[in-house]
Parts: sequence; C-alpha cells; structure tokens
Amino acid sequence: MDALFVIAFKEVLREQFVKKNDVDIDGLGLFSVKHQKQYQKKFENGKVVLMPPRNVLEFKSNISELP
Amino acid sequence: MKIDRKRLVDLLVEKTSMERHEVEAQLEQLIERIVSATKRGKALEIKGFGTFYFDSDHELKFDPSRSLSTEISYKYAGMQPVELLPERDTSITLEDPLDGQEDGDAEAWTSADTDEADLPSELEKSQEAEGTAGATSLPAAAGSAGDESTDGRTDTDHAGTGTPSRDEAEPQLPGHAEESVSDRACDDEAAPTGVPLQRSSKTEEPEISGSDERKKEASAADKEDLYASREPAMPLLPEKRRGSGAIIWVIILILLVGAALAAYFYFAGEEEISAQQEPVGTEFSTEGSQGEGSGDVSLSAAGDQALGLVNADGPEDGLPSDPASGYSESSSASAAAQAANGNSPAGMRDPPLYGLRGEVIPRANDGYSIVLHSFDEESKTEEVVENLINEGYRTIVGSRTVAGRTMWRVSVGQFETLQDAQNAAAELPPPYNTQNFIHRIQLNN
Repeated sequence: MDALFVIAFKEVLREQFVKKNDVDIDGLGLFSVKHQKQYQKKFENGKVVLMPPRNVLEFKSNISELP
Repeated sequence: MKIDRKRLVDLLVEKTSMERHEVEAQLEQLIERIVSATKRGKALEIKGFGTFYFDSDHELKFDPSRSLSTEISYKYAGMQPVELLPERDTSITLEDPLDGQEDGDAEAWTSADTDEADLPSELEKSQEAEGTAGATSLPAAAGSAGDESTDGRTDTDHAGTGTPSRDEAEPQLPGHAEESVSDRACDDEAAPTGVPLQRSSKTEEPEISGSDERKKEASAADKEDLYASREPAMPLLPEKRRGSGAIIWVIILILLVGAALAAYFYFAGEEEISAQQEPVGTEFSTEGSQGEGSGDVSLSAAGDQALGLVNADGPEDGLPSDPASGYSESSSASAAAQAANGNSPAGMRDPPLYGLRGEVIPRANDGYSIVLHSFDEESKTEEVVENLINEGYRTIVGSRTVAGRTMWRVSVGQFETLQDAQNAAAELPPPYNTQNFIHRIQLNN
C-alpha cells in the first residue's frame, strides 16, 4: 500500500471531519462528528462541575464478523 | 453533508493525483488490511488518525487519535471544566456570642477552623483535577482529566489549554476557599447538633466538669458563677467573631449618619425648589427609582447636569457608550454633581453590575458569560465584536493559544450565576439562542 495514499486518506478524512461532514465507507463503516453539549457533572464528594462542550467523532461499523 | 465512497475516491484522486482505479484499489486494500488485522484480534493503528479494533462484542470500533480529537473539537479547545460554587446560605444571622450559646458557638468555630485547615488539601485536589490538564501537554492532560469524565479519551479535547488554564484557575481558588469556609461556618451555626459539634464537645468535657465542681463549691443558683463557669469557653471564640460584631455596629452607625446627612441635604435642597414642583417622596433611599431620579433632575440646573452625565455614559437604552469612558469615572462624576446639588448619593442610576447588555464592568468579570463565536482570525473577531457592541451587548473577547494556534472566543454578557447566564442565553435571538455555550469569564491574562 502506498504511503502517499495513506497520508492523503488521513488528510481527506480530517478535512471532512472538521467540516462536520459524515464519511460513509462501504465495507468499513460510517464516521460522523457529533456535538456534545455542556453538562453538569456531580462527583461523589459533592463537587459539581460544568463540563465544557465538545465535538466527538463517532464510528459505526457496517461489518460485524467474528474474529 | 455525507461523503460516500464515490465522493471519497474523488477527493483522494484530487489529493494524490493518482488514477481513479488506482485510488480505488488502494482504498480497497486499506479496508481489507484493517478488517483482516482486526479479525486476527489485533488493533490496527493509523498514526495520526486512530485505531481500529474489534471489541468484546465482535464489533469493529474506532478510537480517534488525540490529535484528530483535538482538531475536531478545535472550537472548544482550551475549555476547562468549571466548578460550580455552592449557593450561599443568607438566612443565617450573627448571634451575640454571650447569649448562652457559647459552648455551641465555640464548637462551631472550632469545627470551622478544622475545616479551614483541611481546605488546602481539597483545593489542591481540585486544582490537580482541573489545573494539571492545563499545565501539561496533550498526552499528559488526558490522564489528569480522566476523573472528570467517564471517557478518558475525549477528555483530551479540554486538555489542550496549555499554561493559561492554570493561570485562570489560580485566581479562582482563593475565592473558593473563602466561600467554602464561610459556608461551613454558617452551616455549623445553623445546625449546632451536627456531628462536628459532638466531636468538639467531647474534647471540652473536662472543662465542663471542672466548672461543675466549682459551681458545687459555690452557690449553685448564683448567676455570676454560672457565667464564670462559662468563661473558660470564651477563649475558644475567635477574636474575629467579636470583631465582626463590632464592625457590623460601626457599619450600622455609618449608615445612620449617612442617612441623616442625606436627609439634611435633601431637605436643605428642597427649600430651593420652586413651589411648582410636585413633592418627592419623603424617604430618599439609595435605591431611588428612575422616576424619582427624573423628578429630581428637573429640579435644578445642577440636576440636569447630573443627568446629562449619566445619559452620556450610562447604558439606559441598552446600547453601550464610548468604551473609553470608564464606568467608575462617570459614576463618580455623577455622584459629585448630585452631591453638589444636595441630591441623593451616587448609586441611584448605577447600571446593574451583571447583565447581558451595556458596558463591560471589570468588577463583574468573576462571573459567567455566553460564548457565541470562536475564531482563528483576529480580523473576523474584531468585526463580530463590533457588531455585537453595536447591538448593545456586553462583549468580551478571550484568546487562547493551542498547539501554536491562537483562537479568539467572543462572549456576551456578565452574569453572577450560571442560571442567570442560561436564562439570558435562552432569550438571545436565533441562532445565538441555540448555538452558544456558557463559560466562566476568562480574560487574556
């Protein structure tokens, strides 16, 4: 496999993720960027913090085979 | 927008300048390699991108690399979890330390002192939880933020703060400490039968038994002896408690003198008012309404001048005035004009300390703000800031440098509590009412 191709593959996918575009690759799965809103989190010691928002990358495979 | 395999191949052809069939073959080969590796129970990592693996449910999973996660969440890079302060219990009033609650008070103060002594360690822990992420680079930050969230990997998104986050945390910590101490002290006063009091009373048992013996020797009904028996507990009372009572009395006296002076000047000024004027309320509190203020202003030329100052600087119509004119200066000028006129002292037309619109008040920078934009271009930031200021919002700009890139975060409003900020955010016009987030105000220092 060409190293140049792998680099290009990474760059193209990163660009699409930054634009919040979903990338669906047949035989592999669907990449999608989801926004996670800020939320309050309470710890056992009573401390409550406001967690900042963030964007997370989710992957849903469209293959499921026993290894 | 969804990029399917065909579109992806197009993009790869553009990127690599390879032939289409060649790109398709390379892509197929990459997919096969991922699947075959994971089928063998191995994880396949594409450096700088992420790792593919089969989980325990035999489902293909993907973990993005830290750099990819940071880049995806670049808009929010540098944001730290904000600790929410507990609400103050304002229902507690100070009691006279000599009103028969000496033992309880002494115990309460003792326990409060104990808590105060414990506080630094708690603060260090919280600082470790929040501050360490900012003090370290991305990989280290992921570990330190691990206890903040159930997902250690995605916590790296907050971790790219760099050194500034520690700088932000430091000014907040003393405030936390003070408020925590005061809250705990009040709680103990409110609940004198709490556990800390029982523990303290055990330590004081010898003193109490000693005083009982003395009481038996003397007259049991003698009140002086009773007080004498309590005197040993007095040294446990901190001096600041008695001192605070004296301070309160001094403040009350000052307020009374101030009120008397205000009334004197008010009635003295009223004699100069023409008989055509309607009488203003007899009370002239510092919380005079706008209606009273306008009535006062019409009374004399000096009053007009005073109002002119306020109108020139104050955000009465919701629009901010010249940023160069400091709020404190205008306030003091207005107060001076009012004082010269014999009017009420300053504060009648003071803009609210916190709010969505008006000028940014430095004293209110200890609260929360609503972030509307994040940019990596300063020129665009300035343009948006100017628009927001023209729309009358209190606009704050903060910049952060993450991985060598500077980004500017534009927020509006200054709010004392998170709830106030949330309420104001819901009332913003679209799209701001849905596309925003709230953070503690962070300045470029």
